[in-house]
Amino acid sequence: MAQQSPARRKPPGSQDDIDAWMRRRNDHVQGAGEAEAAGRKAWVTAIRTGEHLPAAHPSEVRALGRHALEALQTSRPIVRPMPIQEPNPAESMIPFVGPAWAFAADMQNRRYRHAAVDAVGAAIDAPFANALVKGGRRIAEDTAFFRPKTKPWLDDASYAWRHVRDWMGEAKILEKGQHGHHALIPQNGWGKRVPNAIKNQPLNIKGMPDPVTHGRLHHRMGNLPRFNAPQRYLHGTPGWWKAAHASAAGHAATAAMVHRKRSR
Amino acid sequence: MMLPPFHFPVLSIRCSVVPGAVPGEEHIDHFKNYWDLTHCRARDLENHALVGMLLFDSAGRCWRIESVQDLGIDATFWGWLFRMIGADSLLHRISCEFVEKGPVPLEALRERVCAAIAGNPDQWRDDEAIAGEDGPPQDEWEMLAALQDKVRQAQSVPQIITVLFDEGAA
Repeated sequence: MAQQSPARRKPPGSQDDIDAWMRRRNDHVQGAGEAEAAGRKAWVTAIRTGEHLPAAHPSEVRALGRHALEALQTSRPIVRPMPIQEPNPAESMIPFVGPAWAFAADMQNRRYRHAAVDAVGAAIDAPFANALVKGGRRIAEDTAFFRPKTKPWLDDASYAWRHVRDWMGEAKILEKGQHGHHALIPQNGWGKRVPNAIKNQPLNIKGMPDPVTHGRLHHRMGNLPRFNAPQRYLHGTPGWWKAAHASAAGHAATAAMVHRKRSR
Repeated sequence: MMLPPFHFPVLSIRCSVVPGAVPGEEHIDHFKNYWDLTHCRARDLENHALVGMLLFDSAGRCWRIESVQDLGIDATFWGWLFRMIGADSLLHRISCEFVEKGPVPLEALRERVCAAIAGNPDQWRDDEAIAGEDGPPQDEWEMLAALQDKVRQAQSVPQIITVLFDEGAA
């Protein structure tokens, strides 16, 4: 009688291992459920949006979902930058920051023509922003305003030009021998009705490159004629004043553009 | 702190501390009372502007400041806040050591002041008058000479101060 051979057990991990087979089957069933759910979701979304799907029949939704899940697992998360809101009218008036902000917003929204205008506005604004920074630095250094040692608000004689010119030299606003021109409020003429405490301040004083240039603001000097109005504006007004004018013009242009944009 | 018995106003002459100043370039100022003499700006302390200053009082006596001691910022909290927001510069209380130099004749003082004016025209120049803002342009040196003439005609220290600063106790 032939001897009955004992039942041979398969090594673990082989195809015939019942536990591994059950585990694979459970994973397959669960994955199929997830794939079918994802496929159905994509199918319903496509019906709403009219998106084209590579599934012609409802029976293909499981394959479709499996593809969608695989794509989801392999794709990297998309990091989107925070959208830049357009500045409101008040924000757009901030020197340099306003136009630069509008430039960034327009670039993000691919409105390149508007962005170019904003860039020009920011460039025009830069000198005024620089003047503001310089003014802040002078305030910190206590050289922005002349203030006499005693009775500052009562004694206008304490603000006489002799005191102020001397102080401006010590504060390094005017160099030794340099003429200071009363730019916006004259020292004489109608400026005589303005208190010294207002007109004899660094904001109103423009350092002259030489006495001849100072003289030509008021008279002809020898063979050199008196400056005409644009030349007087160029040579006889402080840098911050010209920068403020340029900034105002830039902001007016930007405001007009924004108005046109909103009225469309 | 004992202060000399000054007769105010007091005329002062010190070396100029303007950047680029040459030796011998002098700055003229005046003090109206003891408070003025015991307070100064932080910049004056940094520049040691007061050391070596000559003081000429209204009685014709002269002192020299030998040393200056900083006694700190002179302000209450509210005073400090008020000054910081723009009413005035922060002032320091100071204690000076004065050395009496003896009486100075008025004639000598007038010439000393005239020499100081000539040595530091920046302090006395009226830029707009020279440029002709209000009338024909004036000559800088003629204006300085006119100022020196007025100083030479002054009969007292307060009058000199009035001529120089258009104020004082004359």
